[in-house]
Amino acid sequence: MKKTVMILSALLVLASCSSSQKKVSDKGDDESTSAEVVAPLQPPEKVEAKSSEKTAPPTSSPVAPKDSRASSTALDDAIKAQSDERIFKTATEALLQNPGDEKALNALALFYYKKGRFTLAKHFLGKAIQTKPSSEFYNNLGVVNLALGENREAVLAFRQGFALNPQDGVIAANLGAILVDQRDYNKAIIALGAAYKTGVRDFKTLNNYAIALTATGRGSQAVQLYEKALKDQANNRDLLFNYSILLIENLKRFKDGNEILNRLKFVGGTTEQRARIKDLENKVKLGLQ
Amino acid sequence: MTSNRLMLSSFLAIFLTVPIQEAAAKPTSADKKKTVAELLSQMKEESRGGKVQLKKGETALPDAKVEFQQSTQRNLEDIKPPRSEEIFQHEGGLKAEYEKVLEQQINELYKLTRQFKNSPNRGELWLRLAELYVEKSAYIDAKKQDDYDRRLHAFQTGKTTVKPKLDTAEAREYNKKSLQLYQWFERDFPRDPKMPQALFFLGYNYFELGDEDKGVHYYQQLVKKFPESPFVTEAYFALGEYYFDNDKWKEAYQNYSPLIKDKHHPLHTFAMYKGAWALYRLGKFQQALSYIEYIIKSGKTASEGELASKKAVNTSRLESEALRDLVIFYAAVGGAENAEKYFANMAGGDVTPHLEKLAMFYGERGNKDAASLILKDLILKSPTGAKSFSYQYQIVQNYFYAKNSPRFKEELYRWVKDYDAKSPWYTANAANKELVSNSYKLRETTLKNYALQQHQTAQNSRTAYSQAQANEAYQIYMATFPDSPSVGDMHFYYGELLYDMGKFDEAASEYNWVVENTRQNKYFDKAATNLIHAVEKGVPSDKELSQRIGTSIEPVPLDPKIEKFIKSAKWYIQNFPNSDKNPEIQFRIGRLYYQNNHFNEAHEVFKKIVQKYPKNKYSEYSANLILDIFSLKKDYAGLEKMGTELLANPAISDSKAGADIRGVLEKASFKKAQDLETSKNFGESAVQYEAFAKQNPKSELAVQAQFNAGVNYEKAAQNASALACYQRVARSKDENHKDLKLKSKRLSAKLLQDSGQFEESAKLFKEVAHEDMKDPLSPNLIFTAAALYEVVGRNEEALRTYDEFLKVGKKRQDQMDATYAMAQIHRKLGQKKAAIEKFEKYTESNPSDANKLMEAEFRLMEVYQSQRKVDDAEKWRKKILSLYKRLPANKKKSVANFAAKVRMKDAEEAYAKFKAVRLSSDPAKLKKSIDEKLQGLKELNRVIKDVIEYDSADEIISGLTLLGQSYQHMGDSLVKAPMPKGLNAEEQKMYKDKVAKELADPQYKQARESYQKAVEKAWELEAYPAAYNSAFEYMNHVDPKTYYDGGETAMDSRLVNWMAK
Repeated sequence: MKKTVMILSALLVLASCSSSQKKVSDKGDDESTSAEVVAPLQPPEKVEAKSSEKTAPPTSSPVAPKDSRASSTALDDAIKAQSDERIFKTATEALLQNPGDEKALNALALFYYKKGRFTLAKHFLGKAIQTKPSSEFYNNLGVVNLALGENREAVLAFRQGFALNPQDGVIAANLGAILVDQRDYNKAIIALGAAYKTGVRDFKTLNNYAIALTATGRGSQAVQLYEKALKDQANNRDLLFNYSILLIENLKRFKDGNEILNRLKFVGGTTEQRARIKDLENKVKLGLQ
Repeated sequence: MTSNRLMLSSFLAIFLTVPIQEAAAKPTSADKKKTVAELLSQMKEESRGGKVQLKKGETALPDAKVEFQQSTQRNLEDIKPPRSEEIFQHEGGLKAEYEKVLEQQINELYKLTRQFKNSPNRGELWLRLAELYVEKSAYIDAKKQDDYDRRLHAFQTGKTTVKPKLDTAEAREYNKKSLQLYQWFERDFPRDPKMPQALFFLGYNYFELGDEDKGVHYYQQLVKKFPESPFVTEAYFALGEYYFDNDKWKEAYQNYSPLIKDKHHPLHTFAMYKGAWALYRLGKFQQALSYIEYIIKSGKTASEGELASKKAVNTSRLESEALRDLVIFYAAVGGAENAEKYFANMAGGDVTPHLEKLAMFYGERGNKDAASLILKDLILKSPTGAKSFSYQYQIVQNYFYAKNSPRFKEELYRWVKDYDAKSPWYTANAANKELVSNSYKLRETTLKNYALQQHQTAQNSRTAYSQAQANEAYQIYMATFPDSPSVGDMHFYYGELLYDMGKFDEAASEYNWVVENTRQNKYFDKAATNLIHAVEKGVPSDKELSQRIGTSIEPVPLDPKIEKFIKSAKWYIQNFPNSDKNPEIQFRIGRLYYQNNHFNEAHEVFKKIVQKYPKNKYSEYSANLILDIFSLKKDYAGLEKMGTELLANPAISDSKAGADIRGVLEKASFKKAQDLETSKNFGESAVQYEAFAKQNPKSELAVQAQFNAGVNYEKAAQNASALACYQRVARSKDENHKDLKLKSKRLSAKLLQDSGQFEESAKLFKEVAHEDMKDPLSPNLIFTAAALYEVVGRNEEALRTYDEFLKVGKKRQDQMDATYAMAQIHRKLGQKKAAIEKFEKYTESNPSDANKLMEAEFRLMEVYQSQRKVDDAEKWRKKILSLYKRLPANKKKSVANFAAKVRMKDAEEAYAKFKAVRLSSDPAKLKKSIDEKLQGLKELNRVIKDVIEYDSADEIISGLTLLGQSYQHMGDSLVKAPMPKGLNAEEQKMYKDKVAKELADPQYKQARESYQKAVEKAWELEAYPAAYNSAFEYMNHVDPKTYYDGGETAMDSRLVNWMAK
């Protein structure tokens, strides 16, 4: 329970930087547009970067960094404050102390992700995974891959992370979102169910999970999820739209569906939704007759 | 050990020229015993007392000459007969009455000369008065001489202290008066028969008045003009005397000759005596000896008579003088063997005095053997006689004057031994206290002086022979005169000699004798000091100690000689607490303790020196060694504390020692860091190095320390601190550490890279490379910089840097990698031409990386396609497939997607071709057109089969979907095919049903299967290419429940995980 609360609180912080519904498109001149091969960094091999003939500084620290705890705390504080400047400073300081500090590598990757420098972000995440494979890094790598338009690599990353840790609700949610989008509902329901169980219950995940439940004939469960999502996002047009489809078409609850449909109409559906809304209105009319 | 600890020079110099980091990284066995001071070139050996050896002061020997009591060494030329005046005897008798009568006669005659001053006979009066004046003069002379003799005797016997003076002025007044009268006579009566008399007295008076030239003039006039005059012989004698006195021996003998020939003349014997001396002087010894022998034999018969000069010869005196001189003349020609017999014959009685005198003259003439023979004979006659001692002494003397011959030493030692307290001579003469006492003193003094003289010679010449001579003399002295008052001095001097001879133990014994037996001796202090010196000489050398101690720092038992030295030195310090030698001696004690690893004792001694003699140079040495002890024990805290304590003393702080201590502390601080590093305590070592650099910013080691701190911080995984250190080194303005500055920049770049600061890292790598392009690593650094620029998206900078690398990089593989990287960047930037150039260059370089080669070929195909360069695109398409075929199975999988994409393109083209085939409305041609279309479908099937076999997910799904579309299209084409003409409505219906059922349905069935496979494969592989949507849409259409699509809007979820706690 404690863990769940913790993750949720973290997600609240994270939501601000990961809630974009738009797929991140190519940014500037520094990001590739497709699944290009990122040139691997050569320095460790190319540069015989030994301190001197006298001493070869360890490439990975054999000794626990003296102030690693302090720098970790500083990084945590910076992340909580979501101060880009502090995140960069504390992450680079931590890496200076320990180039294999995966948490700092992850933070630096997300710093660059936020800046739209996805290749760099991908580099640091690759290094973090190389240092210590974990579902968290795979999750973030999947997100970065999505930003790069590398959907297949994103799914692979999410899948690898989820395999490593099926209890990772975040990665389950991200993986589920893709699967729902691709109408691969049988797999999506497993992932989203896992996300839901581990406490990832943001409205997006609830929405996606509800769609998957609907598609697999478990509409009544989906109702609860939509209701729960709408508590926080009462005017979310996508939620209202999807919920109305469930109520009207799948559960034949025309009255309830009409009510939701009216709320949607009040908010105003998107251009793409208009024809479908009209269709649903007609079905309500027929159903209520 | 000293060489290890104290010999700095070489190693310190080396140590400081060889990069310290190497020394620190590879501690050698030598490090173990390396002292702080050894770390430093400026810490000279001298400043640590390394070359301190107690320096023994020289003690000047007393001026010692072998002197003999009776120095009879005389120039034989000085041997003369007694003055003639002594031979002449003066008339005694009734002097007062004689003087009265003489005075009366002078008065009377004077009156007569006044009375008859114009008389023709005045000349006679003048002559008579002049004679009286001469007589008066002689009388006064004699009287004055007698008086003078008396007073001289009184002076010589000590009865008076007033030295007498012979005053003959009164007599000379009479000579003047006489001279005046003779001059008047010569003037007025030149032809007078008494002229010879006048000439004689003119000559005489002039001689008396000291005007010898005029005297000679008148004597010569006399002998020339009046050779027959009775005054002539006496004139000859006077001339002889004149020449004799003026050493004109030949002229003297010539003038004596007339009298020698005249046996009856009163001056005959006297002239013979003087003639003998003249001959002796002329070297005619035998003739001279015969004259003397004649005088002795005829002495008693010598003629007597009054002389014109009113003088008389004392014949007995003359005889005794002849007897005395006989030895002199015999010595010149006679042999020693016959001497005794000769003298017995000539002189009779006891000849011993003659023989003694003869021995003496032999000795003086250098005939030492003859002298020795005479004296030995005399000793033999009476070995225990009192004079025996002096005879041997005289022998010693003679040989001493003979240039210090071995015979001298032999005779000297014989004299010393034969007359010592145990000798018969001593016993026989024991009653004569004065004699034996004097003999002791004389022998002791003589031998002492001889020993000292030999010692002096040894000091001057430094020859072993001289030292041996002195050594022998000292040994005899010590054995013979152990009770001498001088024996203390002599032990000291002997110690000095032995010390000089390098016989330090024996020297120490002599000094020790002085110290123990003669506390009041003037050399007591020096003996005590020199005892220390001598004992110290026995102490093992630094080299020996070093070999004995080795590299250990554990205490080693003290060598007995060292213990002896320390004991002596402590005794000295206790007995001479105020000696100015004390600091030096104490330091020596301390240093010996130090050298034998007795550090606690050494520390105590050094500390006392520092406290008691802060301004002394030994204080400086001691201070350094105190710190050195701490250093050896690796007690750096103690070292620092002690160093600080020492510096608190202004006298030390302001001294050279203070500067040294500050230097040592500085180096100790550095060494501490080094030792921490050696013990792998990298973190603390780094802190220490950094502190060193901060505290000693002007030290020549400061930059090095800063660099080492960086290295060790890295080792301790404190990279932030390491980076700060490197950056400080890089900013250093010290031109002596360019290499370290460069290394620091490189290491900084690496750390920046590690910390994800790629852009800064790239910039620094490039800067380092540019600073030393001759460095073999430079190309690698440039490559690294390029790669980093590429990663951070600085594509243009990355291209420039890769391009720079291509110009300097030597390795083929690196060149290929750079070319490939540049091609990719150009492609991303849409720089097609440049991309083509680099990709083609890459493919032409025969790369071994199949993935890169495949991608390069694929990208080339893509770019050419985008440029609508069909032929070029086709060329690369073929190459791709060809390459894929050539690859071994294990390498195919990773590049299958490229081949699959190419083949998929073929499938799409085949589909388009298939789709373009239209079924003919002409029944005659319909069959053919259907066959043609089915053939196209078959071909498409074959291509898609190829695609699927590549096992690339997206292409499998795309291929299956395309196949579904193809079947669907085939079914549609058949359904929509033109109906044959001439059929009625029913027939048309039957025809359509039959076509649909028999021809189209199988196509649709195939289509559904393909779509279904595409969707399910997509789900299986979790690959969702665009074609998947078409397949799903179809399946949703035919089976909406299984393939649900309610039109809901899925929400994009991109939750990231910051992993914050």
